[in-house]
This record gives sequence, C-alpha cells and structure tokens, in this order.
Amino acid sequence: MVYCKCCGCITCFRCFESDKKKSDGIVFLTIGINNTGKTTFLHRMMNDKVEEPTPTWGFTTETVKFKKRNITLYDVGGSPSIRGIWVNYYAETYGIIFFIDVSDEECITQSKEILETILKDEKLKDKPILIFANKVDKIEKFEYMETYNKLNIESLISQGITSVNKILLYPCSSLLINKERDPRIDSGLEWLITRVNDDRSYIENKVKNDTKKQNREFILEQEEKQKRVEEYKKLRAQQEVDQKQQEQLVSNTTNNEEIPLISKDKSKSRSVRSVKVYPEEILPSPE
Amino acid sequence: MGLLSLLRKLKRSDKEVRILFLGLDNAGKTSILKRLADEDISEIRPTQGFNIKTVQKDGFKMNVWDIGGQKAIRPYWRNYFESTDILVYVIDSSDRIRIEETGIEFNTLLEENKLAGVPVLVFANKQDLPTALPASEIAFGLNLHAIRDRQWQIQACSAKNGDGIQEGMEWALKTNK
Repeated sequence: MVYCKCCGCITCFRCFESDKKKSDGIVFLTIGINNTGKTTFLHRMMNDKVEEPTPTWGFTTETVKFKKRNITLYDVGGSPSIRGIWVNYYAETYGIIFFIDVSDEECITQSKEILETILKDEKLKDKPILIFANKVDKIEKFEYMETYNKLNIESLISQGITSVNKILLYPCSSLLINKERDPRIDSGLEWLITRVNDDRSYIENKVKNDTKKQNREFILEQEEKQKRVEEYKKLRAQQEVDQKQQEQLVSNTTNNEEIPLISKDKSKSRSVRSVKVYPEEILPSPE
Repeated sequence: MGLLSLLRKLKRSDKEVRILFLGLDNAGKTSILKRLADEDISEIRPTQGFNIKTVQKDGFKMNVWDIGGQKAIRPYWRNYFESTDILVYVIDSSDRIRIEETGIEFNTLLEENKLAGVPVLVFANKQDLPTALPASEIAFGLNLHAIRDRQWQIQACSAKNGDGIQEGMEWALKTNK
C-alpha cells in the first residue's frame, strides 16, 4: 500500500500532481559505441515499430512517458568521429544509459576504456549509470560476471570513480519481443530513476549549476567564433585587395616589358621611317 | 494559421515530404539534388534562383527545393520556410575556414520561427577531398552541439561520386515518419 506524503491518504490528487511535476525534467543521456542499439532503444521507449534505424551521426531527443513520468532521452551517435560531441550533454543529464553489444567482443573491450574515461568527467560525478548489456538475444547464454569483469567495473568502484550503488549492468534486448518492449528495459530504467530520486536534490543542483556554466561557455564560444569569422572576412578581403594589386603589378610589369618592346618597334619603325624620311628631309633641304 | 496555409496543408498528402536545401554558395546543393534525380552533374552553374525537383523514394514523394546560396539571394530564403518538413543544410566540409562562417548563417536560420523544431540534416559534402573534417568538428563549427530542441544528423557525402546521399535521404524519410 502506498500512502501519500502530504496527508497520509492512499491516493490524493495533490500528491499525484506534485509527484508528476517532480518527475518532469529528468534527462537521461544514452551513449555507447556505434551499432549497440541506442536509437532502437529510443524507438522502444516511443512505442513504435522501428527495428532498424539508420546509424546516428548526430543528436535525437524525445520526451517519453514512462510509468506516469515524463523522461527526456538524449540519443547521440556513437561512431568514433562523432563521439567528441558526447561531453556537451553531460551537464544536463541526471544519469547515463550506456549501451554495449554483448555479441561483439571487440565492442566490450572498447567500451571498457570509454566507460572509464566518461565516468572520470567532473560533470558526471556521483550520477548513476545503467549499463545495458544489449543484444542478449543474439547470444546463447549471457554470462553476467564475465561481462562485469571484462568491463572492469570492480576496479572502477575500488578506484572511487563510481560506487557500488551507482552502477548497474543489466541485460536486455532492444528488439521487439512478441511485438512488445523487453520488460528488462523497464526494470533497468526503474533502477536508474530510483537512484536519481535517492540523490534528487544533489543531482538537481549539480545539473542546474553545470548547465548554467555550460550555457555561458556556449555563448562565449559563439562570440569567439563570430570574432574569428570577422577576422577571416577581413583577411580574405585584404587578400583579395592584395591579389588585385598583385595582378595590377604583374600587368604593369608586363606592360613595362612590353613598352620597351613596343618602343623598340617604334624606334625601329621610326628608324625605318626615318630612313624613308631621310631623303624627304634631304629633298627639301636643297630647297 | 491562415485559411490558405490550412488548405495547402489539407491538399498535401501524407506521403509527401517537403525538403528544403540551403547552404552557402558553392557548397554543392544543386549537385546533390541532381544526384538524387540521377542527372548529369558535370556542368553546374551557380544557382541564380531556385530548382524544384520531385523525387520518388520508398513510396514517398519528396519535393526538394534548392535555393541559390549567393549572398544576394540569401535574404530570399525565408520566403520558402513555410511547411518545411526537413531542412537540409549543405556545407563544404573540406573548407575549414568556411565552416564557422557558414555556421553563423546557419544559426540565424535556426532562430526562424517557421523552422522551429524542424529536423536538420547536414550534408557534409566534398568528403572525397583529403581535408574533410570529422563529424564532431563539423558539429562544433556549426554550433550543433548546443541544440536541444530538434533532431540533427550529419551525413558525410560526396556529390562528385554519389557517396552518402541515399543514406542521408533515408534518414530524412525515417525521421519524418
């Protein structure tokens, strides 16, 4: 039996409203190597039938209803050349949903290193992380401890990068099972939401402060870019002027070279003429 | 919503997608469009107005509007924003310097009310050239990493050899569903 916090009754509208409000605004970021099923997971949460989305080379966001809560999911691309954008979403996220493909050994090895790097980021400090061991439908038997050890989770905990109750490895399949979403996805997400709610005020504060800081950084970046572009434009205008001058100079010098040629010709022609003229000049002279 | 735009909306069938191609001059908008329509791309002159092509794909009718990128034409872009389903922004990804420049033009574009929430596909064209930038740097140059209110996707492509163009359009169609 669930009793409400405000008046102790079983269900009260006020509580329900405040609970709904409280859950609004939760943001989860899904990351992981390319082709681990992040976008397919997003489609499962949207309750549509998409099974094979195109590889993501960017950013997708959806706000979905989950157990009467509104959750905003950020889905980003996982290919090596786009991973650089991940860090821009850490500030706003309340927790991380990390995807691995358990049917791919290489993916697990790579994920181990990536996991350590992202968890060391200051903006993700003390935020919960759910690791979905996805594509269990593709393998015969999922060895939980084996994957756990391969990801080096124990060492992450002992180094203090994360803590026991902030990290969970959970198997799932992002494909439809009997036309339904895998119930393990729901259980995993519920764990993540519970962990967020445990530390709700701390995380909310951190998100607020980090987001503010980040937005300031974005504005600064944009201003710097604007300045750089202005400088490019000036530089390019200057280059165009220089080029024109250069061209003029070149044409002038060619003119200079041509002038003696012409003048030579002229002198030649003059001399020729003068030769012609000579007798004429001579002619009147006797007059 | 005015009566005219309402009628226009009613007239359009569900299977129709309106795609707007924008980008600076010499980015390759027309070349990509011609590639889509399987036309010859060897002789393309700067677009001094606009090209409209209807391309059939996966049972969808894509109305693609390609508007010239010359500086003098850019103020007219806004006349074509209405009822756009997907915005395709074409950039020359081999030109490091111009990405930030096109980024500023692009960000003013995104502030337009009529384009609010419209998904963006960035065609990072000229990937056949060795100086092409990786996707995350293009995202930074265009300020995509600060976007939270719409979907975006970078598709590396080359209008010259046709790579990536089909994939980009597939994303556009799936996103529009």
